[in-house]
Amino acid sequence: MPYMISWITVALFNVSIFSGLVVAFVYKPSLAYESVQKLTFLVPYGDIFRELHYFSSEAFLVMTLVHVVLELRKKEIVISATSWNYSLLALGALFFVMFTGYVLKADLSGLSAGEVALSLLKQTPGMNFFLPLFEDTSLFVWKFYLWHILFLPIILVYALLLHVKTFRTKMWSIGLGVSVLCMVFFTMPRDIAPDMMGVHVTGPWFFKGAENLLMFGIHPVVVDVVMFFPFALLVCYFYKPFWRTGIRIVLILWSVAYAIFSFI
Amino acid sequence: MRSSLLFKILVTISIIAVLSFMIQRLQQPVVKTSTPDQCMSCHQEYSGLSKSHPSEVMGCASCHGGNKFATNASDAHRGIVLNPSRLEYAKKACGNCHSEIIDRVLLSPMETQKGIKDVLMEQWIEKSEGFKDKHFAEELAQSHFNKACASCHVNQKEEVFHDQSLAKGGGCADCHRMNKTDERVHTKFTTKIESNTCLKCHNRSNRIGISYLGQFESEGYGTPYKHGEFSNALDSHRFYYELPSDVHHQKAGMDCIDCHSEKGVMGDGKVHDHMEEAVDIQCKDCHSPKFKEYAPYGMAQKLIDLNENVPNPESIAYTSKKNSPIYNLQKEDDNISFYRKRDGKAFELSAMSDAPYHNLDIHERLDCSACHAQWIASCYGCHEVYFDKGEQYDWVEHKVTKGQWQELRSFLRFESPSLGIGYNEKIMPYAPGCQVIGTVFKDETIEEFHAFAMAGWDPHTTGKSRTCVDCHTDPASLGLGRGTLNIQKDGISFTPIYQSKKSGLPIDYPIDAFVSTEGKQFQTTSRDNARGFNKQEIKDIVNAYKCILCHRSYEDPIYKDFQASKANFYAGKTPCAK
Repeated sequence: MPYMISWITVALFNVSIFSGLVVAFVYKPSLAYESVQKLTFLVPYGDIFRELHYFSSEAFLVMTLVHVVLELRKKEIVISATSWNYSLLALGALFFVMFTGYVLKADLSGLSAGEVALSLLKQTPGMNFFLPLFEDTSLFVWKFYLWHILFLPIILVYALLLHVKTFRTKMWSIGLGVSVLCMVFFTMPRDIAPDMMGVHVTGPWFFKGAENLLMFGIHPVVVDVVMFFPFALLVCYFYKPFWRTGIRIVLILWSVAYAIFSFI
Repeated sequence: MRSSLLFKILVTISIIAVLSFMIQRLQQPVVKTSTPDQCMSCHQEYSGLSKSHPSEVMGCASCHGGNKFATNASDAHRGIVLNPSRLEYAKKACGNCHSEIIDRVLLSPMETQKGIKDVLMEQWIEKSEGFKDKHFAEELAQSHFNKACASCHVNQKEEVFHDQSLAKGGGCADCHRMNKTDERVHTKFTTKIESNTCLKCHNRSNRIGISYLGQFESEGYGTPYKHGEFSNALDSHRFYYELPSDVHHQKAGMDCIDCHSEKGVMGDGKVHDHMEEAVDIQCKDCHSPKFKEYAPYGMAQKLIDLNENVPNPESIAYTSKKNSPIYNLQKEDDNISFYRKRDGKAFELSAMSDAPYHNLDIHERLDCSACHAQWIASCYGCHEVYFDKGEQYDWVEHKVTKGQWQELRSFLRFESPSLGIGYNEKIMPYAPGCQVIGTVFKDETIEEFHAFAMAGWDPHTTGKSRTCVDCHTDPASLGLGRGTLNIQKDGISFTPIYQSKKSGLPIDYPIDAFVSTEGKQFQTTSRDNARGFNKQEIKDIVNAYKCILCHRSYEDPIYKDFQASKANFYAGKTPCAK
């Protein structure tokens, strides 16, 4: 069963990559919001591919988290240190690519999320060094676009290949089926026009906890630490076998606390 | 084995899910697309706002917002604005092209209501008598503003008016909208604004709007019916008498916009304390006009093009105050023509004559309206009653809140205007503005206050000039009120008709008296320079009667060269001097 979960997870990634390729043909960074809306409403079956891309990616993230939990439940770690490290790299890249995708839709919530991320970078000592990698004053979404369609997919594919060894193409139909079932049972959040007034905007669901922490007035550096904390624990998890029980407990507590902050 | 079976089951479910989903989507009808936005695929029946705003070019979303790409109603209508000309949306909806105008409107008196509010606060808080607590006075003034005055706001919510025929507000649409009756027809905008549009607000207080049309609001008593029908009705409970209208209306059927310039009405980009500072036009701008050539792509050209009825001339007149184009007053080959904006009908304009009455040095302080106002609507004694236990609609908060006002008045008169020194330091017509007698029912107690003020304005009843006798011997014209003026060798005395004490008023001067014969001012004004005549001015005005008794007409030779006539008189060379 855990293997099946892993294969479906990889299959969802494949669906996400290929649906993303279709979406990329229509997307224009210079007319980001307009091109997304054209894709959604005017391009024949554009909405299907957009939804497929959205739900396969979301399902990929969820299944990845399930995969991580299942693996942490095991007493022994059966993979090599390299595979473990690449898996963590893939996990980080996955959150990152999901976030850039959220910004790229360029509606009010996407643009706001991008602004918040840039502000976090600016206000975190040491991190503002990375600001030019994301900030583009002439075309806001441009560098997010580059990360989303080029750098991060390369990192993700490379890290996943080293982690999973094979992409098991025969699972693709299941990945497609899961994505379509998500499309049937769930609704994609509606876009909010960038100039719309009087609406409440939020970031992606997995950063909701961080967003609420910022709204409570917690210092951005503290929020950064909170966000990177689980990754630090996962690094220690492999290299400090005697700490594993403690790390599991801390991770559970962190997850519960983050979930609470996300729902407040 | 188990894994293989699970895999097969999952694949089967996936294939079924994908196939059924695709079939379901393929069965959905293909939505017809339209240009320039998708709104027109459902709303083909709506044409644009005006000729310069065709929906075939501009679409709907460029003004109304929403999602112009969406092909279903719920997505398309998300964030849509029914009236984008409301000022909170106009900057975004109209600002791409009309940003400069919206910036001006946002600072204009019709938006800020600064004039109304400042005068109300000053009169009730600083210049009133009877209030024990000035903070309470401020609260009451604010309450009165919110529950009465604030309804006349250019951005008022139209939908809150019970009687939609009396609805005001809506932002740009408040003035520029042509039709409102049929919701299925898109609103049409015009720059040829009818006077009735201005009258939505300018029908009370100093009643300039209705006075211009020759309508004087009656007392309300008497029959509201005539020949089995409603007689002259302003609305369901206000009626009017027909009086001589302003000559511009009487002879040329001119609308308010024929004189009042775009900048004068929509603001000049500055916040003004009072309406007269915002108003641009003056009589001399048309009757002693200054013509200039105009820039081909400037405001004047835009206004001429928008109007369509007014020709493109060599040169047009400009206002002397703010240099705004009076594009309907034109000069072509030395011919001066005035065009009515509504239909482009040309009129011959009478220039101000060089006759003696316009050039006498003793009359140089006269505003045109001092002589040419035929009558002025005077509303005496405004009784404002406040009930703290009552409830009333608040036009600012837009909900019913505690506290209720009831407004009554002592009496209304149309009369030859009283005169005084106006805001422009010129002699101009005066009338009550406002005489507030307040009764406040609060916490089982009754508190009373009063604030009596006079205000000077051009009543917009322009006509033939009043006579010399009318100004120089009528006590009402001098600001003394109605009564008998006795002119004696050692001075003047005055016996008023109105007895304030006997009428129960808390004042010891007649309600229609602005000043005493000694030049003591009884009632306040709301402008720094405005005042009644002082003792010397009253004396000078009355003294002229001695000459006027014989030299009643300007045809009289003494007015040909008045300076010389005066010199002769003082030298004892004239028959009367002897």
